[in-house]
Amino acid sequence: MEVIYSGENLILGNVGHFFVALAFCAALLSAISYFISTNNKDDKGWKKLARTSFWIHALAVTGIFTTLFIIIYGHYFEYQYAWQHSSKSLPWYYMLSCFWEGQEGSFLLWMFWNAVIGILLIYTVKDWESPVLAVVCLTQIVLGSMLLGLDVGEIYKIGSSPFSLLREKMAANAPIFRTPDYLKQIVDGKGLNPLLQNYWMVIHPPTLFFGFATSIIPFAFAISGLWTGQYKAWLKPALPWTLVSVMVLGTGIIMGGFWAYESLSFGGYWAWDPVENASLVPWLLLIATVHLMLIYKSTGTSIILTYLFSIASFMLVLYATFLTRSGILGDSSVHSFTDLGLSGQLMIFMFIFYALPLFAMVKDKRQKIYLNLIYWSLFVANIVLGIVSKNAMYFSILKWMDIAMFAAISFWFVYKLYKTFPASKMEEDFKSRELWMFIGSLFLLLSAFQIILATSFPVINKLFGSSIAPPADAIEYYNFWQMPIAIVIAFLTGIGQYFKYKTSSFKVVGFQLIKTFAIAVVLSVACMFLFQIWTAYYLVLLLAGVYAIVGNINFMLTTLKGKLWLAGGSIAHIGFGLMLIGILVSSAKKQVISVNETVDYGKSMDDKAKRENMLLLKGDTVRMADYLVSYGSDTVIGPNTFYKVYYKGIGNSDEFFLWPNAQINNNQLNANPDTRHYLTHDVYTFVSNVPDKAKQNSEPWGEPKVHQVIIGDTIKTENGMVIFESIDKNAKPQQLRLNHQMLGANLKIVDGKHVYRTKPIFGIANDKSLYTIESVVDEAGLKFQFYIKAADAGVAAFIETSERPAIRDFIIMKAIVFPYINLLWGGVIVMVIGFALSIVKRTKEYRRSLEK
Amino acid sequence: MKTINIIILAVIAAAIAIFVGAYNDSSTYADFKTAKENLGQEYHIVGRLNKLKPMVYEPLKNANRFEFFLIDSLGKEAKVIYSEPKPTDFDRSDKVVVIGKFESKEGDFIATKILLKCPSKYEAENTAK
Repeated sequence: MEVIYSGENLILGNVGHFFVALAFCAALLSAISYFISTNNKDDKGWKKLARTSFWIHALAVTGIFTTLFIIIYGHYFEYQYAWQHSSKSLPWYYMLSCFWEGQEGSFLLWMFWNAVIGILLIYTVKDWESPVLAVVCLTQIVLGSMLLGLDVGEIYKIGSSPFSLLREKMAANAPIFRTPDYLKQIVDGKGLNPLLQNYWMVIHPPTLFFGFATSIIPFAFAISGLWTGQYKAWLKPALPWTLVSVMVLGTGIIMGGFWAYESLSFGGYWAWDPVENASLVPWLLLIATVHLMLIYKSTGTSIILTYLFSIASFMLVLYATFLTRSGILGDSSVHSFTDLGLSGQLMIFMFIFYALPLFAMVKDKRQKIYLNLIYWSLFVANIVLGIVSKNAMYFSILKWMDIAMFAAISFWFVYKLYKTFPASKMEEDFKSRELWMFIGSLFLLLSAFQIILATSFPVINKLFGSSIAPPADAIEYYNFWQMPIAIVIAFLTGIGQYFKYKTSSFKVVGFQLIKTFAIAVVLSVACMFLFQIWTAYYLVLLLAGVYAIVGNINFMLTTLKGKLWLAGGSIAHIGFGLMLIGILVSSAKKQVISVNETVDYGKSMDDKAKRENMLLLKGDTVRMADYLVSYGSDTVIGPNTFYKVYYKGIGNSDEFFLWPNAQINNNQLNANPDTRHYLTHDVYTFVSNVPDKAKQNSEPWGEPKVHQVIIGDTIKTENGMVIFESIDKNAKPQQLRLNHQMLGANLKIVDGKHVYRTKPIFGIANDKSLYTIESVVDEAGLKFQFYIKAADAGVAAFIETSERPAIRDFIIMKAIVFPYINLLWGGVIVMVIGFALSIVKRTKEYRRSLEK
Repeated sequence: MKTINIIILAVIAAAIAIFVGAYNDSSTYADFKTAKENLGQEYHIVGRLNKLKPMVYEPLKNANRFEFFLIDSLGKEAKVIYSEPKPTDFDRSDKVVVIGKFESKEGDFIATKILLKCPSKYEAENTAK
């Protein structure tokens, strides 16, 4: 039965779909035109067509963005994306975060940045426009296909459209969609994940994605170099762009770390989570790429590695995309996306781009035919089999053929590079700067290799049927390799620059090295006392960080004569040194202060067990390191419950409140920390557990017990002692305007060190009927009735008590002091400034080379 | 031999060391039986919660102790002790990965880390409708 739905706004969706299709087709047209234009340099017509279609593409992408924003902003919940990711109460700036909560939106963001980059490139790269833009357009085609949402046959679909209607996405036979005006029943959307409702989440993803998107630039240039046969000229225009990529991606990554530190409760800024690793690895390779490009620029060597690294950086961005979006990390990562059914398409993405460098390089006609034949037949086999077959054996054969093909492509490509570029004639003098830079780049590669290897365990398991688990203690596992590598790199950043390219006089360099080393040792000893670090290994790292700072400052002062404009590299190195020290001190000297040493849990408690979470009963004060800490009350604001925690310094006048908060829904606690920042340390606090008040309130009361009492009596109950202190003869509650006589029993309850008072009431109405008003002390789990009635000797007073578990208002909290964490954030800022200066310097150099 | 070749060889050696090290230091997915046969050895054990048996977390007595029963992929059940507060989302998870070890034949499984696999919110929504 066909239902005619009412109230839906279908125009917006159609406009959106139109823009998606237009963006895709325009990218396709632009790619083809740029392709032809590259191969026919003199034909200006194709280039013009390509440019025009790229502009159309860029506008269409902006159109998609705008349409989706209108849908979210206007609360058109007939669209699945708006319903799934937003709600009416969301402020407009968090509506941007809705984009990146879903996969479609983050692909869109990536496309948008690519379009911006493409436009910038069109007007800046001159002769390189056609080949570079052809590569950019190819990524836009692939990314655009992720948004198409085309159904091919019954089971396979290409892409996932952000403009799908809710009723298309949900089970079509869901009862709600049987009514034509179902929209009236959908009052509000599901809302944005509260963790994303944070200002860092408004700017971190766009920055990160801009970084990811810019990694296409060195890749596209490298491909263009191979394609056009101008093997080396691309490095000059590519260098400033690669620096942009390093700067933006680095900023994006650290913003993510800062967000995690400010709003996640794992207690830190970096957890070696696969998703974090996947973005760090391309960054490391991009830094190595920059250094290799510099070596090439000054000495003309190491071109092969420059090619390999430029290409690998982008490959790793693609691989990272695959890891985080295919659902393969499901078991090992906390914040990857679930599979949207796009994993097949993501694999095709990698499949195409992996072969691209080789395709660009093979010029020989016969080789071209072989390559095309083998590659495309395997490509088709993969797709056909992926859709049609369920036979495990075929899949296994195909898998090995794919692996073989990947290996063959890699070897063939590297072999061709070696054939094209005669053996590297690098100066192998230990007095040459390039050798040290080269070694540094290789260490960056090792670092990247270790991280990506350990992150890829789920992929390796899937490919080879193994069952390697991710490391149990990720931090220890990664630090084991990363720390020595970081030490070497930090020393190299200080040492390397004193050497000149090709060769230098050892006398000059030697003096500077000894001088800076001596200063660094003295400063390190001072830092050792300041930071209280006594472990030898950490001291080596400390020295390396200090040396990186001293060496580079000295270089700026002596060699560059304080010319800041030239000192981008040195400043970035100084930032790195500061970061390293910040990381070392804030993690090695991190102190969990919420450790309860005084309570003995008895034998049943494992001695080695951690005691890092502390119980804070409302009103109690507990000592944590140098603070007296108490919990005041909780306040509910929107979806969050804020817990007021009061810190008072012991022996000083320092006092402050922290408001760690949590979202509690369906009995689940989602905690966000609150942090007190000082220049020299941070006090970081979050609640790890809170009582379930609703459940406590629904506990049944026990059987009442009746006690005959006289004033001064004490009643013993499970939950505490009750003392009947006196009778209040005028115990009329103010809200009752009754003209009765009311007697109240003044009761004092003593429960350990807590004292409560309460007053149950016995009333005599005007018509002589009797009644009671009970009183409840939730904190003690006691309920009272009071009455007077005839007894053995005249009249007597009675108190009836009922008990249940006491309702305790408390929080379980964890507090950590991170010393000198500001060195890390400060180091990052210095590093970014250094990158920015380098970008300016290298852009100027490039402009000057154009003028010549 | 040229310096550059020595450097490249050294890097390759380091890469191999990393590869071997990565494999050796990593833990493996296993079941309770294997873990009991290798006391003190850390394993990742994938299992599901036994919701019929009590999950004990009494913050007022001890904020750092949580106990529950887990059934591994082979159907063997063990009591797991975790010396941290009860993880959020615990009740909702259908699949749990515990990382830890047995310290004695009679003892309980001591978990140092718990990973939760929650049904994604998409699925949760579909079953609710």
